[in-house]
Amino acid sequence: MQKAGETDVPRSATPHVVSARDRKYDRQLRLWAANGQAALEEAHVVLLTASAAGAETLKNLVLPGTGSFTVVDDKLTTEEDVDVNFFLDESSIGHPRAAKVAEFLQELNTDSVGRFESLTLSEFDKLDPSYWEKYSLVVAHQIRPSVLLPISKVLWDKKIPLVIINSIGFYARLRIVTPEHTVVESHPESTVDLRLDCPWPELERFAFGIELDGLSEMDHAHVPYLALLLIYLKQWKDAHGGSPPSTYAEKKEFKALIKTGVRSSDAENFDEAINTVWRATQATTIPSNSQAILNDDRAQNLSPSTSKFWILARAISDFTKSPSSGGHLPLSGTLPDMKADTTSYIKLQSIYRSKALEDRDWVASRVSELLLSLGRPADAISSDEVDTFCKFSRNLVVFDGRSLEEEYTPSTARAKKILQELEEENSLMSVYVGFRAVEVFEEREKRYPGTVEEVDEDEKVLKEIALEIVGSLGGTEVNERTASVLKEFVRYGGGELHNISSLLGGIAAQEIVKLITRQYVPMTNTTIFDGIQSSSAVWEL
Amino acid sequence: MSRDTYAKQILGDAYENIKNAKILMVGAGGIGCELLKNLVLAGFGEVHLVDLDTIDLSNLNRQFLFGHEHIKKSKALVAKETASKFNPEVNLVAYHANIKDPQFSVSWFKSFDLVMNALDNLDTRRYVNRMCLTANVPMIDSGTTGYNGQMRVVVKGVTECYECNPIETPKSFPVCTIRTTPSQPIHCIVWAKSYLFNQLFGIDEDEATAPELDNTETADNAEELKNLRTENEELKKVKDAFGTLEFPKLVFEKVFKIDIDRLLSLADAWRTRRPPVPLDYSAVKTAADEAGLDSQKKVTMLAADDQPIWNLVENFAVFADSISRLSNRLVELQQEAGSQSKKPILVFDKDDDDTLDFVTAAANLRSIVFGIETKSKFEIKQMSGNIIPAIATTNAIVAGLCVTQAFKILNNDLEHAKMVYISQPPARMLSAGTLPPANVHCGVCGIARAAISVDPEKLTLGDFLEKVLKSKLGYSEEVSIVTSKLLYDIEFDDNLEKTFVELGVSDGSFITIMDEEEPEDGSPGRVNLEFIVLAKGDKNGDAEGDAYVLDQIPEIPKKPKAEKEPASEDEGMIVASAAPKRKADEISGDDTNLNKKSKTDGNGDSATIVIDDEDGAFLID
Ligand SMILES: [Zn+2]
Repeated sequence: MQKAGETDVPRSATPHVVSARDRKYDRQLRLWAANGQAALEEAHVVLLTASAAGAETLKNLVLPGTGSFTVVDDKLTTEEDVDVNFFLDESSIGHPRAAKVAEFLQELNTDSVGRFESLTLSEFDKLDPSYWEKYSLVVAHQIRPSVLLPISKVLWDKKIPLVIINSIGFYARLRIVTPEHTVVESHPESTVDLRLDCPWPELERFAFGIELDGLSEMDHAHVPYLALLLIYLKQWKDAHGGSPPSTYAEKKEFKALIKTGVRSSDAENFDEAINTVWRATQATTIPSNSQAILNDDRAQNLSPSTSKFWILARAISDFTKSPSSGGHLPLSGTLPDMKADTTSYIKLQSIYRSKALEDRDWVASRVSELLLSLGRPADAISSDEVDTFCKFSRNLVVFDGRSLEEEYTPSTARAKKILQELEEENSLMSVYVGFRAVEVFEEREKRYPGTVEEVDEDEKVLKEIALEIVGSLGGTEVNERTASVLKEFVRYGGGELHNISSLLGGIAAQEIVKLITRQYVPMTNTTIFDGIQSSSAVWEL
Repeated sequence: MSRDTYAKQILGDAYENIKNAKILMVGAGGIGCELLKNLVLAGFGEVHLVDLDTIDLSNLNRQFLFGHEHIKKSKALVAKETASKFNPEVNLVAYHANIKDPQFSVSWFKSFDLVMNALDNLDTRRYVNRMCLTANVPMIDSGTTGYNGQMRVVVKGVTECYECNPIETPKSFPVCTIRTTPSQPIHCIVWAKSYLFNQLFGIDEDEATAPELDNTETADNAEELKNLRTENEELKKVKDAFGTLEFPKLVFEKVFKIDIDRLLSLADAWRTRRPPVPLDYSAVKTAADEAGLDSQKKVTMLAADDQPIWNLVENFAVFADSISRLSNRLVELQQEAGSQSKKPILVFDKDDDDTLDFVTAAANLRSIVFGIETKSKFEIKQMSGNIIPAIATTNAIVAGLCVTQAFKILNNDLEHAKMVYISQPPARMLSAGTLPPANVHCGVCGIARAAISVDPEKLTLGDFLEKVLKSKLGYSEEVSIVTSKLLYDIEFDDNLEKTFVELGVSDGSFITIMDEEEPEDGSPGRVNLEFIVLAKGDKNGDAEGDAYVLDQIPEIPKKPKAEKEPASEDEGMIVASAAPKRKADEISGDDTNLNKKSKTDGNGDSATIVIDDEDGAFLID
């Protein structure tokens, strides 16, 4: 008797010995596995501005073992810095923030290599674009737009992700700027793909070879439910002119039909079959998001510089058009949990696995052909990579980003969305407008609103700036909610609140880990957090 | 500007409240480290932290207040030491102790403005929940698992308490499934870890205390349980050979041959199940020798790779070798302990390779006997250790949210306090909700609470019933008095002469009084009353020499009218009823009897296992 968990296509046979490092990272390896960890260990993240939010972001990247980090800042540590930044202490006062923050962060994990650089905002402009090439990702905290926009353009062209964070008082903002982000291992809830509506010959032979009536009570209670479904589905189709049960009433009737076969009280397998009827009667299709990726120009028109993802996508696209696929994606080969005896479970497992391997082999050989035609070595994409791609082909994710320029230029901004959101009660879009207004204020005044004795004037100026921004998007007023948010911003005087910066550091690092490991689905592309309401919103801006 | 100017400016009036606040933080693990850092930097006046745990290598990927040099040291003490450097103005007090210790009394809880839970298990969370309800202190509870997390505020009488809704508890298995008729890998893993390991190297008592085992005796399983007792007796005899070279062989033959043969004799059990196939020691041993697995070095190399799934012979070799390793360790410990009364034992630890090797090999051998799929050491580590992923990022988010709620509580702004869930895209990243009101049927917060000081050596149950319950509180004799067991009801008065001490009631015990009287007019009876017992010395006795002091006569409201229990059964989804009847032993805080609930998801892909983890209790699929 057998009750087996999800069984995957076998892992690669590389020998693996548990090291102290594996033990230290055990709890996270269970989230992103060795390949995710390797990507993290190869990464070099740079932080512009050694703020509390920036240091907290890096902390969450240094702890899990990000390969290297660099802190860039030009200020000397003040008392206020120490008050809000855990990675500075009394002894840091008067010393360069970049050096001190890097030093404290380094203490967290010797696997990570920390550096620091002293660069002023005006120096960023003069940097050669190649300066950025050593980094795999850039985190920027509260850098004024006139400096940040040119940097973001350079990074965009070089396809280096930029993560912008802002933390003022109870408000936080996160923006991911990256032209294209592809994810194969999106970690869907399940990769089970049963094909009960379109069984291939081996699967049919297995199921229809079972003579239910002739089985002993014990064997009868151990027929895998997949086989039961196939058997009864065939019975149904034979009686209904070849069509499967489709309406609710028909599915109910179909369940009743399966129930007629129950013999013993211990018929867990029949229960499993009945509970899975909805799946058995669902047509196997290519999910529309996967189909869109297969049809994408980047897959259909390959060039020598095309990334592996799109070459693999092209190979899968070709596969779905080949006669051997029957118009389907490659089979994942994953079997669900079921009650069955060991022999039939293993048999069933091998039927699914063989089919998955067969599909995989087709794709692998197509990948080699494509690589050769592009003038690249036939093995430039490993068989593990093909495996993983096939397994997750139903759940591929492509995230086409929007540049900072697009967001900040009124003609390309998501004006309608922003104005619409501003109308909502307690809208977090007011906080977004607030951040944008504060940026402009700082750019013009070279200080944050609320940092002078007489704050009423600051509030008035900030409101005028907000109106300029809303006006440029076609709006006519700064509503009451936005006005009260602006008032809060003035009250905060540009200062950070540690727990909000810490929370933002958590959110930012989480997204950065997803970007670096290329696992899980990242947030698109802006999130605003309001610590007064404890609420957040995510928009594509 | 001077220090804390920003905090003052941003927090406004709340700042003074924060500076004067006294906070209790229970747990100094993943969330705890983040929380402590936040509290220290926010300038909270006084923070007490309690944690019994010590630091492990696998904590270091997120518990940043600890370094390699702190491994095996107290989490509470090291966290205090590291964090206090960053704000010497905060008064930090650390206890390397169990929060359930009597030193942490109700009055001690009462001295805090707020309790923040950063715990890793349900049992302690429930306990702290009750203590906070009794002491009437607001509580913030939090937990994370992988990329997901949650946080909520609990205020007595205002919001839901931690137990207002049925809590998902760790899955438990009927003892017969584990011992007689395993059908899944997890059954064999639980057998290896909770039964065999403990029998050989752990506490020498039956498995009643292992939360994963449910050994309720019913008419159906009486015969099986009798058999199991025979097995236990025999195994104790095998243990006489402990430490000898023969030991691994004797254990192997006992559990994979003799016991299996006995199971086979229960013909009824195998009518609709595949019968198990016993293993023959000498045949497997010969095969192992032929396979070259004849030296400890080779076995060590084999066991070091946790990825492949071992075959019969490999499992055999690791089984024998790990028994030797564990026996040697135990013998050494026993020699060190000398004649001390407390016998040293070994405890299963998923990060301890010797214990994990044993459990992996023993579980797999049993799976082979029962024709169940075998698993790799990596997989078994996860299944046996209840490991769930844990990272710094989620803990940071949750801890940040906890502190925003703490501001609200200290500002008496409960109206805006929230519960927040963290989830992954495409769902909303943070979902905040207003706090649901308390469930009037809740057996934990929907009851009356009181503290009573007693001299447990003097006060008898009879006196308690007559003088306290009847004359002071107006109960009739139709009550049930319950701790972890029934002490009294109208048909069971055997204990009336006994003192509290004799009944096992001592400082910190909970006693529940259930009103069993059914008024003739059909009106509902009174809600349960839960006493927390505080032991007092003789001299505090009042003038009449009574052995108790009841400071305050509690108000005990009527039970709310019963509502229909919603229960539904959907496609393959068993939904547990929302208002479960609470049994006496659940009320008492003794969790040996776990809520048994099963939930399978609609498509049958995966069994849901509810587990505890390092940073929080959660449900994973
Ligand atoms: Zn409650």
